[in-house]
Amino acid sequence: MSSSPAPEASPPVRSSFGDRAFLSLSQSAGVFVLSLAAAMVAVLTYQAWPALSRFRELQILSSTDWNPNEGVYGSLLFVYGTVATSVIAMLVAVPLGVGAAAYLSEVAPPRVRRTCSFLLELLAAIPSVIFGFWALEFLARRGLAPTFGFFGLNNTSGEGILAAGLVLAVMILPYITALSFDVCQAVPRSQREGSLALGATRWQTIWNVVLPFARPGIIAACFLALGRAAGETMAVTMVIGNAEYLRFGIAATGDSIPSLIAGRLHETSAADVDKRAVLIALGLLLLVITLVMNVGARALLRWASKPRARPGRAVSVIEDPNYQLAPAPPEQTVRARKRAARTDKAMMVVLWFCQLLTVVPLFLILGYITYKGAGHVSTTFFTNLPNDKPPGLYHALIGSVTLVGLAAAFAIPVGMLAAIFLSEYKNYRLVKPVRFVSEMLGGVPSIVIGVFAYAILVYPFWFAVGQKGWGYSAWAGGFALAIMMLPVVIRSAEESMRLVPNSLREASYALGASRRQTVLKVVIPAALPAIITGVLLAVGRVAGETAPLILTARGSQFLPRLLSDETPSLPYYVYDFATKPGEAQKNLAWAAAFVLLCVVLLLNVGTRLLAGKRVVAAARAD
Amino acid sequence: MRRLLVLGSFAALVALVSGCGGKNAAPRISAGGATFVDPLIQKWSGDYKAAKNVEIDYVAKGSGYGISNLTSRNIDFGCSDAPMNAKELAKAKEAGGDVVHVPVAIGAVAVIFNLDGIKDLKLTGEVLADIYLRKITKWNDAKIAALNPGLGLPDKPITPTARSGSSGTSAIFTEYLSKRSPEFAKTPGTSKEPKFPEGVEKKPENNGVAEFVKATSGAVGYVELAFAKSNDIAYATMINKAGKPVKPDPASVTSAVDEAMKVKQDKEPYSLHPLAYSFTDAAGDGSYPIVGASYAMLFKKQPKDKGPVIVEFLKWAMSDGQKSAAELHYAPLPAELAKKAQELLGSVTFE
Repeated sequence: MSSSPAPEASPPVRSSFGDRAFLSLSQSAGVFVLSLAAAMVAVLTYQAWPALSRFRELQILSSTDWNPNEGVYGSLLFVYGTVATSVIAMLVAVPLGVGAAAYLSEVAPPRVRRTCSFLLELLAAIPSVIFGFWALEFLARRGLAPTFGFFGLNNTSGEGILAAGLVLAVMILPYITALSFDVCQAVPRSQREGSLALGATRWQTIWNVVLPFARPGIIAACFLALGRAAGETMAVTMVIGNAEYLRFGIAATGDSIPSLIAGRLHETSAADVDKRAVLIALGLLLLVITLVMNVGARALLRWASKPRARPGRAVSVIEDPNYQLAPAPPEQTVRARKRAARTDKAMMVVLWFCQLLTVVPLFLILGYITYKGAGHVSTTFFTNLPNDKPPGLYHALIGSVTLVGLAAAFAIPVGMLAAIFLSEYKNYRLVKPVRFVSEMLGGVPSIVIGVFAYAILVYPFWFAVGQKGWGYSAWAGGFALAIMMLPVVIRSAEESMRLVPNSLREASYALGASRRQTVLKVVIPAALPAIITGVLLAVGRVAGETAPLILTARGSQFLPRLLSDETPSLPYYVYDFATKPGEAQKNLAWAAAFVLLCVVLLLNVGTRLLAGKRVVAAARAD
Repeated sequence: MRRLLVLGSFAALVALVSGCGGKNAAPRISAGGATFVDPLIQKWSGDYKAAKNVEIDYVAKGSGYGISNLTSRNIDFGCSDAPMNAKELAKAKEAGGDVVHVPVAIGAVAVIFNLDGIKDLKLTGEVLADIYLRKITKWNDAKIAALNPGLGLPDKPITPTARSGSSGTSAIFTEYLSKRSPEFAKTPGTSKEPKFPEGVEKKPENNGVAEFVKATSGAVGYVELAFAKSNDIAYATMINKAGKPVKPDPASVTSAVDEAMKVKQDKEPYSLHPLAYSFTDAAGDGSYPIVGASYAMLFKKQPKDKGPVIVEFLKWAMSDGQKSAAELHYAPLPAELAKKAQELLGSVTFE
């Protein structure tokens, strides 16, 4: 949102055939995004219909009794698990995140600010399956289990809703902090200066001026974070305890909707009509929840960023001309000042502490994964298969590259064209809906995308029972990842192109170039560094995705040979082997987690270092 | 330019990966299902690749996964420790015709526990049922203590652990408990996806249960013996139908199999299949009581290209493959059963 809307420069001459073709190409990319979203909703609704039409009868939202044997699908406990974990995450992450943002924006020296934002970006880049593995082994088993034991609570594993909520808190912290930081920065300098000039302390300025001014933006950030938390699959499924009873209390275990779908959907065939429909209906519910969060957040942000005259607070006018404000006794003023100074000092420490707590998990995760994993990475890890001795994950590396490559090969061209449409054909009617839908697409939980890709490419939903499905494949996995990548590419490419000064376009037109020529020869080359950065960041993000792959590419013990083969991937194996008891397999999981973490972080850090700060700012598409 | 480079290298990689299939690549069979047989099938997969250059790509996600993905025909053959019931057979028939079930491995379900240093524990089916019914919730309960005099059981809560999702191991386990406890037979009863009372933890796959019990003091769970052995988790001695304490091992499993095969299988789902047996709670002094078989399931009508490869593999698994069984703590298939199974595989048609 960094560029101001500039009046569109139009080409002087009537468009040629090539121009029109270019327009229709980019417009159809936009239409494709729209139809993709429409198809997703339609397919899910169609598949969930057997459950939706008998919503009451199946007791989906009116019972907590989940017993598919008896045809009872009470899902309230999964809804509760989703809500409870999200609420815990918000309770922890919002104060910490806002505090950290206030510290970074108002207190921190520039160097600390730079370092901390960098660390936060790293935290945001860690794949969710690694959060899950860490949370299972470290947070639950080493942290919560002994704590519960100490307080005599009946939970010996440490798993449960609290563990899931805490790991979610760590995962959404960087989003809340980064977004809140941005809105704090957007508070006009004059506001702060006014407050300080009136003698307010730094804390008073933050509390009474900066935060109230930034409030709508912060609330929007919370909505976005809540949407993310509700849709998170891997980290939650690994630590929530997978219980099938509604239990309350701090040590209670439970289950969430995404975790249920990830664990159960592939156990149903097209013939298990009810169970399948119920699971997909729950996916649809999840989709609706996250969409509401996202729409709400964007509406708030848009409303808050609009320049507007604020009606001042009602002032009571004192009619009496002789009225004088009685001066406070001096000792009272001094006391108030001292108190304010003390509060200021204390709060500065509190804010600093918030920031500290925000980056500590990063080091815990990096440290623990390195400690456990680095020692198990050997050359055979990169050359052997899981059934070889010693076992390796060569095939999963190749599989991951294939899946991400497929996703990129699909998402980059479509995303670029759609972004060109959004940025260069601003006054077309479709622009607004396409942008909106693409932003919404970015908020769709990954597991829902997995369900959709399964219904399109694994066992097509239009197939009659008995028809042979297309099976798990790299195509399906790549398609799912592409849908996840598409909105990120569109967003970052559009932002990058918008940053290209309009004068460049005008100069190009003045030389007689057509719009197509201008876009291809002037705008894209100028925006290219930022676009590449955005694409690489997007690649880093989908490289760690697990949830949709469970339902689409599955896994395999062998090297994938055809794109129609089941395709293994590194994050899939982190998940698969993390839940295995054997020493060898667990070590392989640690090694895989370490390698995955290295790849994702190197991609992230490398891109940022190479591209420079400004380009990254343009390309960031959170 | 850089973008082109990035795109180009991706395209090259994709081409490389999709191209390395080649003409003389090994045939690959996609399979999946029960985690019960997973250690054995992965061993077979490696051996068979070396011997016959055929890749058996088995992904273990549970018996329910095997049944549903066979029905969706996402995989070429599936494995389940609970033979398909009438409903599942009907669904599968609609999808691809008759399904052939052949036993490929027989193994014990070990009752694993984590009791800080205690290595041996005696349990009966009745006590185990009470634990899973949450009627016994402490390790020092009088009923457990009576079976284990002088063991010094701690005053610790029991965390019973079961499989989440649809599992053949659960079916074997609950079938045994249902036979021993009338109350258990009422609810939850025999099921692949039993509804245990509150307080029973659920973990995915044999691996998940083993991993959880290994990591959690006070936990008890049930997994195929190989998972207990290879992960060094203590498992209980069960008092069998004859009242004798028996440890799970190939000999006690074979004894149970021999006894069970004498019994006519007239109950569903076993009666629906020519070669399915209920091996639980078998008679005989040396029989371990919680025993089950894993069945390979495939459609009777098979495609010309993959069908013969699958049948060849299964025949190999029942003959040469059984040599690996004991080494992974499964019981070898009885010769008679293996012979019948091979004959049954002869009925598979290729078209």
